[in-house]
Amino acid sequence: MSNSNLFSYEEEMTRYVDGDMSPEEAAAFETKHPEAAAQKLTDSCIGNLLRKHSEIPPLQHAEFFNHQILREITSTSSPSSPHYNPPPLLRFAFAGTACLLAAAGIYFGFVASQEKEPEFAVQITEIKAGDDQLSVKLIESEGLAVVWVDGLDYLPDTYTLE
Amino acid sequence: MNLLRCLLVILLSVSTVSAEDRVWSAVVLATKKKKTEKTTEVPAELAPYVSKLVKVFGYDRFEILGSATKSMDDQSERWLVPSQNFWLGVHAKKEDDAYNLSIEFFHDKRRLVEATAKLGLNTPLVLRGPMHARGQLLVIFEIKN
Repeated sequence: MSNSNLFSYEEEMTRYVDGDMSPEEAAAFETKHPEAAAQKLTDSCIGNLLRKHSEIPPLQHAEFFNHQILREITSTSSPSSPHYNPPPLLRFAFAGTACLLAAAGIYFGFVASQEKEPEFAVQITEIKAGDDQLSVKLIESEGLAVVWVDGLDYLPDTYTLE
Repeated sequence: MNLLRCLLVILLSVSTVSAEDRVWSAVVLATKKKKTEKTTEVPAELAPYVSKLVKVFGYDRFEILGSATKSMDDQSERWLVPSQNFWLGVHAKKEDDAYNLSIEFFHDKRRLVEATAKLGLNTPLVLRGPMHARGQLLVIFEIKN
């Protein structure tokens, strides 16, 4: 018996058991394969007996399974659940407020701080002492420009400051 | 008509701002307070930067011995005599919000320093002058508005 014949037999047997054959085909098949008819009869008897006498076992812990199923449904459906969608005007107002806040942050972070810098801005391009006995240097400290003159005479208490 | 009025107001305000700029100079005596001495008030003119003066020079009491103020016009030369002993010669040219200066500091008849600088408004230029028996003399120059 070749494989193709075997498969053909199995297919025919399946159609026979499932009742898909016409009466003529079934009769021919039973004639050709009498054991198949006996097998079908046996199977149908067993199936009828099982359906008649077997009971469906009662489901234990039904609440637990219900809870698990509900939880699975909830977790699966939550990402696609509809969320609050604000009206366009409200979204526009929110975007405008965010832009204003950003602009204010940029202004106070960069522009305003730069505007304060020139408060103590001094640029000395050239500096020289009045005579050879003096020496001068520019000191920029604490945001203050100081022309430091060395070589000046000490002024005694008799020197009147007016 | 209203536009013309607005333009006039703007022009007047601009010229007023420029005319309000003035040069100010002061001779300051810097000393140290005695422990028993009460806290003295800081001169209002020095208040904006007195803390910097304290840090730079190490003195904590500043007394203005004399000061002088003159209005600053564009491309003008001014002589400032804050005290009988110290004076300054200033030639200024305004450029944007600052002044290009040519400045000379004098003590009696002696010229101490000659400098060219660019100075912003309300920005002090401090000259450390001679030491006096009473304390350190400073000459402060500033353009105010």
